[in-house]
Amino acid sequence: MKIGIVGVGHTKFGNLTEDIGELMFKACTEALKDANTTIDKIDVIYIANFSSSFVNQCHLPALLAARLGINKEIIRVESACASGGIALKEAAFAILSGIRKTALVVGVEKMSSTPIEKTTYILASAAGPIEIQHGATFPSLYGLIARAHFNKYQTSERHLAEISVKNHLNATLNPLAHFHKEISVEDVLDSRAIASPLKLLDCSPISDGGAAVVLCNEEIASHVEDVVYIIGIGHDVESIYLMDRKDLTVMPAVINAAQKAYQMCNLTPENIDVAEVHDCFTIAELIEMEDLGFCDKGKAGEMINLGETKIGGRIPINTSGGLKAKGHPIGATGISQVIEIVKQLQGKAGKRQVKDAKVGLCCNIGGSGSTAVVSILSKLHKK
Amino acid sequence: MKWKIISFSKINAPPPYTSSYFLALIEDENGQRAVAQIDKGYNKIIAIGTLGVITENESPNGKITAFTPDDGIIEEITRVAIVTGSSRGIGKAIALALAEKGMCVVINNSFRNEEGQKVTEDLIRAGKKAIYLPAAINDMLLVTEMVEKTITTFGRIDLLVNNAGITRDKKIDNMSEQVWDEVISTNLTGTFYCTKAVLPYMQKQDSGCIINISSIVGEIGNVGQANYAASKGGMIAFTKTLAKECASAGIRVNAITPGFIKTDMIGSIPKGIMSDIITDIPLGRLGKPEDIANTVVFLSSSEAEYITGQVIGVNGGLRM
Repeated sequence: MKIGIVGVGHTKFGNLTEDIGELMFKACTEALKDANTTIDKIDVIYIANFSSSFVNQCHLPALLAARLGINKEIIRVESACASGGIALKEAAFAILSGIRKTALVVGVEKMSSTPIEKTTYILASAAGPIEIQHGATFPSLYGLIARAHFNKYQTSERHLAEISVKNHLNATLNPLAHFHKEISVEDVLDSRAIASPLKLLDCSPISDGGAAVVLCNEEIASHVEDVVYIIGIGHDVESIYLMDRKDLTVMPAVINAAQKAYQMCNLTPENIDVAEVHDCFTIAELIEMEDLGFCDKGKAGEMINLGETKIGGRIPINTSGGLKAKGHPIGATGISQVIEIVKQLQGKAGKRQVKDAKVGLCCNIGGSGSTAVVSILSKLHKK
Repeated sequence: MKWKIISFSKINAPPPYTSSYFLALIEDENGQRAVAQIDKGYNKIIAIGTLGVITENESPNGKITAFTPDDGIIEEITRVAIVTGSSRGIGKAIALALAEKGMCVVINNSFRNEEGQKVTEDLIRAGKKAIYLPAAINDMLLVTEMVEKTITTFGRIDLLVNNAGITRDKKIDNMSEQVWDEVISTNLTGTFYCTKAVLPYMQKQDSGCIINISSIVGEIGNVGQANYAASKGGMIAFTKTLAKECASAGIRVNAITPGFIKTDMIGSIPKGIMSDIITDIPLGRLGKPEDIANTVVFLSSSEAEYITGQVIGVNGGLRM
């Protein structure tokens, strides 16, 4: 597999004044400009978006057509927080089919203008009906996962706090991040309890933002300087219910998606130089570190203790600041992860640059990990 | 059939819930799994592996599975109330009624005097738990001290009754800025200070109740009381905003608007005018401080757990 990423566009993440149409427009035009191309050269557009309920706007493809002043095939993709990753995969597969040569993939979410009660209600809709009926919230579902991991592997709230501290520090180096505030382990441990054992600073924020990438086939990409290739992509979906998961400390969808992605490019976790991992809650990053094979099961705590996921460590994770501190406009997240890896592989990540990064990985999950997309990117395609 | 806890998380009351609860994943002897809610009262005995039974309960979202741990006794909490301006009048009646219901009460007035001391001592003599903490509520520093002493003494705060208030009546032509400020700073800013000081403790507990004693004058206005009416109207708007902001933390906020209540405060109204007022009251009498106290007892009880952001008129029907 060899799909070229030839242009990227990324709005600032945070509480923004732009409406959803403007966010898509800004990300798309920036990506097209970066790709040194125009919209008429794009065969198909995929929009990743979680919920139209935040802004009561259901018909995003036609809205984008209006903003761009075009007639084109435009498709909206929804799969909770994994919407971005799946839109990317669908666009890549459309190009692989040979029917499309180019695609624009834009992820977007406008959340901050919605009252918090409604936001909580909309977010919970990504959980199973029985869970929702019992008053489950996403922090609490991840709280169940965290408690199970603590119990089985002696990890602790301090390990989770270290993840939050690292991601906040990385975000101070990312001008587009939602937060630019360094925090301490004590700040995390002292922050308000949301759903035990998770506290406020274990949770990603409510953000607005858009992110877009221009994809093309190998032939077109071969003429582009600084191109980054998607060389593997895996996707897996399991039951929406946490109660159907035999071992709460494992996300089988992540394991399966990662396996497919590694196999596709014939690489192993040892080949990964940098990764963007879906830290909607700090415990999610910890579980994914294990399930992506960056360490053995139950050993993520040790990896954190050794500082291996910091910039300069063995596998820097979430150099962008992650969902925790860069922000989590749901539909945009999967695309934003890809953009960070593209920048890292191009050597354009500025102060947060990982030295000699050749291969990068993105892990984008939905719900409580029931959907997962893992993509592997490389500057120089390795057969 | 025995079930055991596989994992659990204590959730900080999201809407539409008004208080916290545990979400748990449980498993029966055959390995069948289910999601369940557990009452937060079982806090101390909830752990991975805890055994118990399940029942079907009602919740704001419909029927749910509730897990009850074996030998589980819901922890009895002695609730604590701060009633500002409780050395006499309506505040005193409220404090006495709450103490009668078993609550620990903080008696407060603006400065230490025999009145406040006596109310407190009488309560203690009657076997109730009470402490006298005088503090001018329009001084944030003193308010903070009062709240901190409450926590040191009783360990928690379940109810704040913002009752303290003053009148400085003048028609607007003769109302000086100083008189305006005095009333606003005690009645409205004082309410803000007390609320701000107790909220962090209530948020930590995931529960709490705030009752603001406003006035019918805040709803309909009254000649000579522009300052008082503005302060009491402000308390109503404050109540509604706070109710929205605090609902997710399990904290309810309501206002009571007393009509004409037989206290020292209305002693200055001339007899003739007073008899006219009584004629206008459908129930034909002035209110008693106990009428307000009973409403506070109800609003602060679990029986009122679905009431927040409301303005309850206790006025004998004077305003409908």
